[in-house]
Amino acid sequence: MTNAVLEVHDLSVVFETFEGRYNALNNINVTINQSEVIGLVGESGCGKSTLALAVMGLLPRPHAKIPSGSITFKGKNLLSFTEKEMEQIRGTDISMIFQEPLTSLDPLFTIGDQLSETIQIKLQRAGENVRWNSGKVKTEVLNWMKRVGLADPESAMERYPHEFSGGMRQRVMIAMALAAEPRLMLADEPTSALDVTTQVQILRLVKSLVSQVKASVLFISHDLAVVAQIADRVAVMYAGMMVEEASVHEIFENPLHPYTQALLASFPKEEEVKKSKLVSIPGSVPNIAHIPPGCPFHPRCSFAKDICSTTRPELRENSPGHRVACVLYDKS
Amino acid sequence: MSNMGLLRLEGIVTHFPAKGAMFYSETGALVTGKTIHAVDGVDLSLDRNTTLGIVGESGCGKTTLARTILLLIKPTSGRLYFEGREITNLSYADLAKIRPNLQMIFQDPFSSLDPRMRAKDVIAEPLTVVTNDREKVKKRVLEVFEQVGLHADQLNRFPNEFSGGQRQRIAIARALATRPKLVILDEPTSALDASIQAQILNLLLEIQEEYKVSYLFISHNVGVVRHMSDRIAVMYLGKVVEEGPVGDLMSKPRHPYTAALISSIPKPNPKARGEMAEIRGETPSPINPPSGCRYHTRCPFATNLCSDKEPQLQELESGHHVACHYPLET
Repeated sequence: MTNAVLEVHDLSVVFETFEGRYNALNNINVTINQSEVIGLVGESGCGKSTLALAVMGLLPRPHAKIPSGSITFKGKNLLSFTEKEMEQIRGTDISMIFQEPLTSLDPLFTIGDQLSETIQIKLQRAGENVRWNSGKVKTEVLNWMKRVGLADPESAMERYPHEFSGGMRQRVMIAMALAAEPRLMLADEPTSALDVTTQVQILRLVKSLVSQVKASVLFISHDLAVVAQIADRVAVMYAGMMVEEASVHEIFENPLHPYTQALLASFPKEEEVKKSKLVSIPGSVPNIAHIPPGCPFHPRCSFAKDICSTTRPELRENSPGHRVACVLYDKS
Repeated sequence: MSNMGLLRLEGIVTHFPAKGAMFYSETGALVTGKTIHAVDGVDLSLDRNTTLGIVGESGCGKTTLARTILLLIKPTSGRLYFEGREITNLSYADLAKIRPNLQMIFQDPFSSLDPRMRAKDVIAEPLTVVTNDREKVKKRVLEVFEQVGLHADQLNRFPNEFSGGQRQRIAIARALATRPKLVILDEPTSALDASIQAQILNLLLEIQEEYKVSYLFISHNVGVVRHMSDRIAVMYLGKVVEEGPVGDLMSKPRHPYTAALISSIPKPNPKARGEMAEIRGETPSPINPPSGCRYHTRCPFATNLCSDKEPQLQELESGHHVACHYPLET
């Protein structure tokens, strides 16, 4: 018996549009263990959100195709599930929070009503037939509002999303995502729209609640510093490929992939001389329509060899628990 | 007169009417129910060839301050001096003569460039205010275009043919074209990917070196501001709460808000976990700012004095100003 909650194996996602076929994800392998927080980092367009949507079964149809791979959750391949079966899993077994909570909350219903719905469904799936406005649901709603730190829950229940600040809305989203005590929560840039001081509050909240309900988390962020604060393991993506994966300490102390190294080096650091030149990565992030052949990073890489432009490196274990996709570390 | 500094703000106040009832009174004045105190009494000065960083959270008035300095919004009260001369009440024609010296670069290069203008026209537009000589304009456009790291064969392209980083380069070229003395940068790298951010910051530093231009660098990213600035001003709810040389302010913050803001920046180091300080509560509304010190509702050191009396910005050490009744010890 393994303690893996989610296993993504060799997953590829292709978008078929009038303009052509775009490879959004290429042979992604990632495993999330029980009570583990995985940080998924990468720049815009690298496929972070596509991966999360694939797990949720929410890829835009009919454009998105999955030519290969499997997503195993609780021993079953989610890709073989019907829409009805996926509905049973969403919200209770796997939940998701998004960057902008205002667009993910319904503006026409009060916060209390929206939370009640989640809790009613959770209780119904557990075999209890309750009405959404029953006392039992209300007690649990109030309880969750307190747990996520919403002041004065009784009156907050009656309010609408627009009356809340960004930080408070994100607290509501977290309550909705965790109320059903899911096994896995997908968090897609949950703090990117928030101020730093609010970000600290939300990161702390996610961390403590997740460990209370023993959920695993896929934490997607473009910000390495945020991931350093919350993740146990970090996976780095570039242009639809996973280029490196290791424990959080290993990634920050001993980054192997030239892209990871360059990303870390380009941070303005405290001890650096003011106004000195920063290490920068030349060129720009490739468009999904024109991903370079071979290693997608080779046109920007300072260590690139001839082979990099022709052969796509595979994600291989370099040391125990540290995997990297780069020819520099090929031992053969 | 070089000791006059380049830009000086004296008690700048910018208020907006809040949404809601608005009507004309019998005397013809516009009367509104509520007021947004976006910028509420700011004194700052900026020297030549230096960078003043402005940090603060969303809604603290950073952007309103920038727009007020460019007189895109007329301040409600206060005076604005550019090169020692008051410009607050200049006529439109007189302002137009000064404007080539003041430029701005915005956050989102996708909305700050006209999608129907070619790159060369975007950059040439500010120059047409300065000169009618088309050859001169053409020459200058090419010069700045290459200076910001773009190729001459891209001059005829439209903005949608460029990536985010390249668009920001075009925006920088447009700002530089008239050889301004002051460039206001409003979150210039916030919309860019991490690997592109360093490129743009390096470019801005090179340009400052060459043009001896002053920057007013606005950002919520304290790490970036620290790297780019000579001095930093911290804003909270329309007020400057602390201002000083970057080294002093970052290593020995005297205002509790500055200290909390600095320590809430996540560090790219998993060993530094748990070092982030948490500020309780939320930023109050600028429609109804708290009495006394505006930070007192969230400050762990607040006393009755803080809610009664507003602290003034005072010089604690040379060049380091703090608005707090109980500044932190160093």
